[in-house]
Amino acid sequence: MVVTDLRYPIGPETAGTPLADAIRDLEEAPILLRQAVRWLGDAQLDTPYRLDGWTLRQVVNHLAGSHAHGYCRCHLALVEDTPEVKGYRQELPDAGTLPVEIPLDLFEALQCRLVALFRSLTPEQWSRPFRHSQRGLMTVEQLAVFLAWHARHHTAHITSLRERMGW
Amino acid sequence: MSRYNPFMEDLRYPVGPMTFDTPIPESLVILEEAAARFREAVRGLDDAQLDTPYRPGGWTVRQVIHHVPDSHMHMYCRCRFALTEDSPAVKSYDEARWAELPDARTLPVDVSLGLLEGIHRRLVALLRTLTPEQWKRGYLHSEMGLVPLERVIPMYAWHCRHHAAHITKLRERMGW
Repeated sequence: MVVTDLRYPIGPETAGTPLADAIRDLEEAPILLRQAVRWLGDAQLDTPYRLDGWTLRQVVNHLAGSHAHGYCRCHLALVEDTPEVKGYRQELPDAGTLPVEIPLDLFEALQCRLVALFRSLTPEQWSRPFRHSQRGLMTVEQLAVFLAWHARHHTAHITSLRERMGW
Repeated sequence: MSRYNPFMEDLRYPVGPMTFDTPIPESLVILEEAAARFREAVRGLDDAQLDTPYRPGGWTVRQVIHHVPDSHMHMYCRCRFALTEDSPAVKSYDEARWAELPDARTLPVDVSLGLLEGIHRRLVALLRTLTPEQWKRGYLHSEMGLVPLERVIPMYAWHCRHHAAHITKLRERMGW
């Protein structure tokens, strides 16, 4: 039996995803996330996806919050020269209690705007850089690829828990 | 940028200058209702009308609609920093250049109306959980200094009314 790391259900972060695939992944991400939590009750949403991990509700809230930051960073990189952006460490307490419809709707609207923006970018804009306080220098392209992976990564936390639990 | 002039009718400031004083409960209601008000403000407008500047040399109605969620998304991220770090320094940003990005000039307004609704629902849900002590937490802005959340939120409630009035006033003047 292969022992997998529950924290990385789709494996470690991938850097080499072609842009077209990343954009398509982002476009589909809100649907897949919504499907992942469909029919789950509050008790299930409040179950950690692994021992000492976030609850499913926190995972969904984290995705919406984190992609909101990604959206702002992307804008900054497009209009300023190598802006410095900050990573954040803590999740807010409301992430543990909010109904998931709120972050699901936000996440959907966000990807919609983000994908429209990405489809309008020139090669020069894709290579515009920003400096992240924890990850160092990144381009808009790397950000898009990261966000696509990030959405699949967290969605898989939910779907893999459901598989293990038989939900 | 030139400031509000109370002695002339200024198309840029249809609801008057920025205010920080709207009570918090009222500000939260304004934020909750903002997406519906913008939806109402653009109801029935066609693409040519959406691409009309709200004043000579100003943003088009479409750019105004895309600008509001962009700006409030930043505010939302700033609030999160303010709640989890001690007086974090936040970046000011060039909103004029954002509004010139191609998506803000061409994208259907529905996308941004949905986004605004999503941000405000998430934000207001968060704000309704705050203790009096958390409302005093703030961020350090390069031009305004330390701004506590209890002043940030009235400011953005004003921002909603300000931009919605750009659109409704234009419609009044044009007889749309």
